[in-house]
Amino acid sequence: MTEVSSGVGQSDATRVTEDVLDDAAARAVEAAVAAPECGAVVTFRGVVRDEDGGRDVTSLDYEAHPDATAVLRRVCADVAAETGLRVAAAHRFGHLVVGDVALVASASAGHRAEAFAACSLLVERIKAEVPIWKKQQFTDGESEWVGL
Amino acid sequence: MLTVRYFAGAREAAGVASEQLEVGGPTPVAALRRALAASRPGLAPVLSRCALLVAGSRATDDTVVPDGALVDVLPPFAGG
Repeated sequence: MTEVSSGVGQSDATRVTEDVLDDAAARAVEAAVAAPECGAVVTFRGVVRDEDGGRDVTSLDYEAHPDATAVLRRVCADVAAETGLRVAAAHRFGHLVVGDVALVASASAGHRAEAFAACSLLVERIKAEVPIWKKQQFTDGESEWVGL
Repeated sequence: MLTVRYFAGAREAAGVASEQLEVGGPTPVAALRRALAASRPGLAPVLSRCALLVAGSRATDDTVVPDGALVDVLPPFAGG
């Protein structure tokens, strides 16, 4: 198990990790937001796609800053404070191939509309604020850093 | 002396993961950017798109980098 530096006071499920994000990992993220009063749990899985901008993608190499877990936990705390809801997320780094899960993000609420909105907000914030990068490998042998 | 760490595409453009940089005292962030771009020509076009993290906080144009600081060069984030 390799993780990028951890924080305190939040669920261990929220982390930036080299571990595979399989069904058990996704359930752990969901379990971190579950509560008796929550009738809606929304989970988003970000999955490596086989194309980008019309080019065929074979794999993605994700890189994380040493503080990435701490930033992810701060982002979750911010979204939780803003929405008043429970949220959690796990992000993977390392070499991922098409079909691999890169991100699991969950939010829970009494009803579905709030849970969908909070999960969407959480994913947007993660993409904008957590120091993670990815390099796309294309089938033609070329590669590029996304967003650079 | 500053320690500069390069991440992802910035590391690739710089050709190194980190380096020590002699700056001779507190340095405005704009001057640091010019010095980094001049010392590694391949880095210049990437550096202009990067944020600088100085001692753990994101630098603005007004930031003065204290001697001895850890500076991280961060390309635009691309998680998710």
